[in-house]
Amino acid sequence: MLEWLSAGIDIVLVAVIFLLVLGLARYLAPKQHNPFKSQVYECGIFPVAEISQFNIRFFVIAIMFTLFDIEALFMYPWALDFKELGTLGVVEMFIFLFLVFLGWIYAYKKGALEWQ
Amino acid sequence: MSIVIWGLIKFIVVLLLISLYVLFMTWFDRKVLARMQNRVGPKLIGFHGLWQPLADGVKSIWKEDVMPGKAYKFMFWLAPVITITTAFAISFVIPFAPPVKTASGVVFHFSVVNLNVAILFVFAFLGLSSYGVLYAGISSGGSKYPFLGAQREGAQMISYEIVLALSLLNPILMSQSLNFETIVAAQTHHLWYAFYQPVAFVTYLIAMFAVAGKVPFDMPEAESEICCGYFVEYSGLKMGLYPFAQYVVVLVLSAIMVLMFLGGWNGPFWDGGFVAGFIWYWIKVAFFIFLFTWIWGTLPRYRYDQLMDIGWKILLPITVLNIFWTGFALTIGLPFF
Repeated sequence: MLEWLSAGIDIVLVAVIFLLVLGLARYLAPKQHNPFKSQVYECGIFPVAEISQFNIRFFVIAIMFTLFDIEALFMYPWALDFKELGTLGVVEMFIFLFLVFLGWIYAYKKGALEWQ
Repeated sequence: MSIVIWGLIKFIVVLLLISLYVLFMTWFDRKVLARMQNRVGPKLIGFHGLWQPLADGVKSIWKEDVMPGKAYKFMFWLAPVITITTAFAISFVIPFAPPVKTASGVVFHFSVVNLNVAILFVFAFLGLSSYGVLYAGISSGGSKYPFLGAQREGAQMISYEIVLALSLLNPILMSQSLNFETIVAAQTHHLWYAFYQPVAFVTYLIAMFAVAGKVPFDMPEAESEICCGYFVEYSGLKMGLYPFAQYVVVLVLSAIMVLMFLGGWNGPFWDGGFVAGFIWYWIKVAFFIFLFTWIWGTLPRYRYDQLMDIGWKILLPITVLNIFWTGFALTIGLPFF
């Protein structure tokens, strides 16, 4: 338990230290306001429009990530108790892996992994 | 309570050492890249330009903090801090030297915290680090390049995290532990796991470059396509924190590579306790850190669709099939397992 407390304290400390450093830099830096400085970066021309849409591919990738990350999460406890679970555990995990792999083949055939 | 106090002391030491390492690495990267391209590199400030990173750091502190007018201020400030915090959080569970048994019989660990699920901790914070990137892109106030770059980087990181997690599963299957020191101990007086798991070794090596966002997979910051990617709108020290975090991630991923696949502090010969272990360990880690720079100076960049194809169509089925093979081999007890 104490290790986790220690890790938590250290992580909060890192965040605080770097926020303080950023605050210090903001205090030290010069401030010269200019309306052109607060425009978005656009290679020298005036910005035309804002961007707020994204390609649906990224959404599909995020869903696929959820699927396979849960697969990985299920396999970590199995890998830890590999000896205790024995052959039955291996067979069960192989069935699970096989089902997920079928899902991968389905996604492949449906074209979810294609980038045009 | 002593664990917390020791943790704080080790935390300060690790923070200072990693900051020094990052300063030195920026110089090293520029120098090595310059030599590969037949240039000289930084030369003027100090011995062969050794003080150059310090000068750059001081300069970036005094830079004006420019922010797009429509930026979401809170998220814009938070994004670099999330990135750097997650990068440092991963480094807390990495052992920096072999454990030492003190005279009273207590084992002293050279990681800030010695967790029994260190690898899960690493993946938790690698997953969180994509938030820093996505926040940077979304909070930049409708700027195009950060938005595109953040999507690309986010999708790339989560795609290759699966490959990373599934390739690390093979050494975990063989050692049945999630603690780095136990996994290294399982490789002592034994062949290293890279020899049992050459496929997992190679897939981890490729995924390592993609997760760190380094050449040949430095898609998010493809200079010729989307300028600097997700941190175009950042300036000064806030911008500097992104490469900072990237160097920390490079160190951590190289250390995990050595701990999981290359026997950590075990050497092929000269097993002389702490000093020998320390030297072997850091020789191997330094090689992989150098490999990042070497590949940077050697290979061109992949296209984005090629990157996704490599991850989802080639590496993912290979790692899954490799787990089938490892489970099979361990169950029937092949002679080399």
